[in-house]
Amino acid sequence: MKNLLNPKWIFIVHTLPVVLLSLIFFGEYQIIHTLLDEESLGLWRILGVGLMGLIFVNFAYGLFRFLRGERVSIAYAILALPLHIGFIYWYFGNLDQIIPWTIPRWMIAGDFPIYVGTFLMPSLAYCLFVLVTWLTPKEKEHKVWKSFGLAIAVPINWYIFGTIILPLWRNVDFRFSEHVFIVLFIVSTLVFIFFLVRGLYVLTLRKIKISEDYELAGKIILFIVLPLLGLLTNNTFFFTNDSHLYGGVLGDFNHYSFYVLALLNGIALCLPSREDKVYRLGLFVVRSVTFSFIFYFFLVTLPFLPFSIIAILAVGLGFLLMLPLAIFVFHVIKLSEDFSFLKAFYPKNILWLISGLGFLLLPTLVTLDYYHHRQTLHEVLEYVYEPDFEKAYDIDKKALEKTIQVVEDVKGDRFPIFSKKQPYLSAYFNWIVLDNLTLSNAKIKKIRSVFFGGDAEISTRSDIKNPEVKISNLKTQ
Amino acid sequence: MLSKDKTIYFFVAAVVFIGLKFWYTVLTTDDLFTFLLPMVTFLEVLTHSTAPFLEGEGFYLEAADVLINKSCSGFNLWLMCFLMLSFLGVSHSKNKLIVLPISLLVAYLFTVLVNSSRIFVSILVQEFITNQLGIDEKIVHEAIGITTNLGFLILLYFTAEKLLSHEKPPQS
Repeated sequence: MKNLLNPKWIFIVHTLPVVLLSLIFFGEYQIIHTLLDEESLGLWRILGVGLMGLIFVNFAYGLFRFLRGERVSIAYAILALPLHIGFIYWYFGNLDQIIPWTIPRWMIAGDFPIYVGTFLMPSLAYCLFVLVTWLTPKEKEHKVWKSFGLAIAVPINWYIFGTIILPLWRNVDFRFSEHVFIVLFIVSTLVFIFFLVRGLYVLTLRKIKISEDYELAGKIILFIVLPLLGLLTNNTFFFTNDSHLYGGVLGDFNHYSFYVLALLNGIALCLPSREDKVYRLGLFVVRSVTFSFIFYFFLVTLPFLPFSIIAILAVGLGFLLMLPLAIFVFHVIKLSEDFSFLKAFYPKNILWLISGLGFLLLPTLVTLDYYHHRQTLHEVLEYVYEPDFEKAYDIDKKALEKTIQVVEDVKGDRFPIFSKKQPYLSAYFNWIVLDNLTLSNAKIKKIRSVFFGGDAEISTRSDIKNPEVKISNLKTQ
Repeated sequence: MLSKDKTIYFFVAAVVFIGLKFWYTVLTTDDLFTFLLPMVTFLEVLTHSTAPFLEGEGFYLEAADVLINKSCSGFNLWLMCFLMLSFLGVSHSKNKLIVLPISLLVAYLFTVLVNSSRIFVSILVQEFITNQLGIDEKIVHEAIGITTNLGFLILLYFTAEKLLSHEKPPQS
């Protein structure tokens, strides 16, 4: 039985280091004990008894299990972890009395204070590995809650090890207790919320399974109604007089194309997967095209994902944040199912090509649109500042207005949310259209005055004193 | 449960972890330039600003007026995630030799994403929460960090565990 749950590991990771630790402490005690007062001596006795107790209990357990040919149980890890952590806490809490400041520092080895954490760390790590080994699911659990609870316990174990247990190998400051409290509070909150979400999910699944009639209704709600509602919530969240200053919560998605694409994507996901190759191919194409749309929103909401679960309990903003993930996962599953069905009728390479081209369609259209804006802007700047009088200019004023508006908005906003920007798209726009530069306010004003009317700042270089003087005619030869 | 050969791989992962952990204690912000750069680039896109590197100090994110240095690198998250993925990979995967390097790489990509998210969300909502709820700024900052890191860690674990324990149906 040569594995981590072999009790022999206890002798290696616990007995040996703690015996060494005890010998080090004993040696140090021999040096300083004559300089210690009664209170410190009392603490040293407790320290000695504590270390002996730890060695004896763990060694006895290991020996007992070894002689019976049994593995280390999960109960050992559950009991040993708080015991050792408690001991380390007690040690650091009383360190000022165990090694009082009256002891000359040259009598104490430099790293002495951290020895307890360091030498007990292998035991703590071993308890963690025992826990994780027992908790990592091997067979399918029949009880959903137990399975989920065990599964979620694994990453939480790793996280607690990394943030609370591991720092104990060094001396910890007074803020560590506060840090531990915050970690445990957040951990318990997240665990509760994960269980809540899973519970709702399981309940929802069971309700849908009751009748297939509800399946389409459920899909319409999830893939059409909620996304449109989500866009609406994002775009109208600020119900104030200043709402015109903000594009939306996550970005400015007011343009009608977002609603159209959301509707189209929803319809594509709601349509049934019939066993008809032509119909299915058409559906596959549409789903491939709209996949880039849902992938974009998945990227936008990804940074906020852990908070979406908390946000569900709040204003309802959680739907904004979780919906793209849910739809993204479902969309991937549907595309995968379509692919599996269609590969019986069409070559796989063709299907990959179709899905790739479909995915790239929307980004390509966006890029072409941005290039058009770039051309327009360059044409405008040339027209205003370095006109070629032999050339006929045909400026797309609508595109120009949009470009100027974006430049003005970008100059005003700091962050991409609560703003008139669109995450990633605005950065892409700036890269393509403006080469990551901007236009000065004077230039913006001049362009506006030339094409849309309004005041323009006059260059002081000409120093016109009589405002009635204007150029009435211009001829070239 | 773990067999002997699996234990060896996990022991190697533990050694790598301890080695990197010690190495981190002697690293400076300048040493972590390559480690920080992808995360800062991602943040530059998210915040639509620039973050020039100040030698000895770190990256200065102009839009948020924050300095991203060693303490923001996510190195500890990287190590934690690496251990978790290694253990999972060694437990489930048949090809154990590539588990450790792949775990290092996946953990790194995960750290770039999660740490960027953490900093981004902190920049956006920390001040708002501190002012509205009257909670100490450091506590809010820490709570945001824990929520982001742990939330994504749980999601990564569920995803990785599902992918690794998924059994392919027999070929007809």
